[in-house]
Amino acid sequence: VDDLEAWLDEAYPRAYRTACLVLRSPADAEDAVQEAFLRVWRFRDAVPGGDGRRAWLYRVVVNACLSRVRSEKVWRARTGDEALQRIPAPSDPQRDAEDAALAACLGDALARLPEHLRVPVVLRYYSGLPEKDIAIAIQRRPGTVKSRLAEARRRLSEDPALAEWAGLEVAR
Amino acid sequence: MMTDELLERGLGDIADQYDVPAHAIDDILDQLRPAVAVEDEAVAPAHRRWPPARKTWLLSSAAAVLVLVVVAFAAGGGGGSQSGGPKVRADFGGKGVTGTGATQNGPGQSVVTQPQTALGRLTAGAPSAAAPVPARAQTQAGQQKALGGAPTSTVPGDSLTKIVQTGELALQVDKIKVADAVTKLTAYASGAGGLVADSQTTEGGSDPSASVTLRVPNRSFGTVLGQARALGKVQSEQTKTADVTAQYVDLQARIHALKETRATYLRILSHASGIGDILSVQQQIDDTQTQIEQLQGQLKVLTDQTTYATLTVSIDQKPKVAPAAVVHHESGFSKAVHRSVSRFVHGVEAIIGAIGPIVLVLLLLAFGWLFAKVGYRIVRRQLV
Repeated sequence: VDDLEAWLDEAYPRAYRTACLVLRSPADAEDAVQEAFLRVWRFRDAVPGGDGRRAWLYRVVVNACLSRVRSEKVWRARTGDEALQRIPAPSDPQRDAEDAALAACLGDALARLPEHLRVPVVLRYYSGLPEKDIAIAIQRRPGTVKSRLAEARRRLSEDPALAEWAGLEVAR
Repeated sequence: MMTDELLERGLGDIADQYDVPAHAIDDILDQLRPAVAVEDEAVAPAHRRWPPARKTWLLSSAAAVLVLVVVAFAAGGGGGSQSGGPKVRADFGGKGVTGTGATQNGPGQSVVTQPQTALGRLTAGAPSAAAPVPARAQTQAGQQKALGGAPTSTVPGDSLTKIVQTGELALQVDKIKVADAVTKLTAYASGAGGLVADSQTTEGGSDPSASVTLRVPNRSFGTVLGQARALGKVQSEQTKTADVTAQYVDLQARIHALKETRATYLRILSHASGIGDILSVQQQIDDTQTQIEQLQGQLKVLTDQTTYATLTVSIDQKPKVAPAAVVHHESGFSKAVHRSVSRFVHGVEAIIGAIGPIVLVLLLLAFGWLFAKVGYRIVRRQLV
């Protein structure tokens, strides 16, 4: 239990936010991550050590998230962006306005991505997993991960709102 | 163009908007503590190996008594049958003696006897003597004939020992027809509680034959073999006995282990919630189920083979003995004598053959003369 507590302190925040990005619902994300850690405890003998432990954890987290998405249709039920409605008041008006604009555009674009593309993007660009660990997490081959990431980037680049914002950003 | 940096920054911004709930980690730990406590309680007695609990004492004692009873029963049964000698009921026809065939002990083997009588014939259904058996026994008809005996074998009702018995018998029938022999074999098998698995009969022509495969209960194998042997002259005979107890037990153990594995997977499946996990566990369950069914099929075949012995009987009709042509290798004089004798015989035959028509002609002449004489007298009286 002590080991798990230490691991929770270290890994919980990023796992929780990863689940939030996938599910876009803090409540569902909390449930999913809690379920994931309980499952990790149940099958703790099968948890690999070293670097493989993080990939294994994200595999369980992603499974828990997708299980919720597919069984309860939470993603489709939550058309409103609950997370964006909870954005705290900006402290630096200029910077925070830009970040808020990016977050809003990216959030909308991310919401339009299908799950099989959204999950690798979140794991790669937020959780910071390398492609081989993403492959472990989503139980696909590294080549599949690479092609899905490329496809996700292409779709995001073609998103009108995001492209407009990115163009403005690049112009600045 | 979306760069990796923009994506990381954007996703980071979105993620930062989600505050990590302060109580979340404590909630998880609170949920884990009861499970940990239960596991601790479950693990604690496992380390308490001595002194064992009262329940353990009772179970151990019961197991020990059961083992003793089984051992005593097995030892008593085997000793009794050996000390009692061969329990063979034989029709000796007033003479002849019995002798037990060669016996050999083998671990885990059934008890089969091969009593051989000088002139005796085992009565149908007579139980055979109990004696240890070789795992593989082959008997040649010639040896049987020399010994003058009719071996029989029975497998005792030891449910732990699994024996596969097979036999091949080639018969030549003389006094009865092939079809009748097949009918009798069918009746023997039915009478013993078995059946005819295969039957091929070729009738007509100068060489009728048949091949019949009988499946009879193991305990009746010797009896049916003796009955079949009595149908004609034994041309060849071969019997085999194989102990498959180890294979049988191994199959049972593997099936049991796989069932345990399947139960474990089912328990895991009941806790799995992710689609990937469920599919993965379900695949394992399917694989395990397939293995169980394959092994159960093998066990079924083995059980059938150990329950029913297989006896294949080939039957041929004894050919009619045609008079052999006598080939003479004689000298000229001898040939002349034989020719003379032959011609004499032929002459006599010709005379005898000619006598018939001559007698007939004489008879006709006699009748003609008699009619003429009687007619002449009648005519003369009318004239006078």
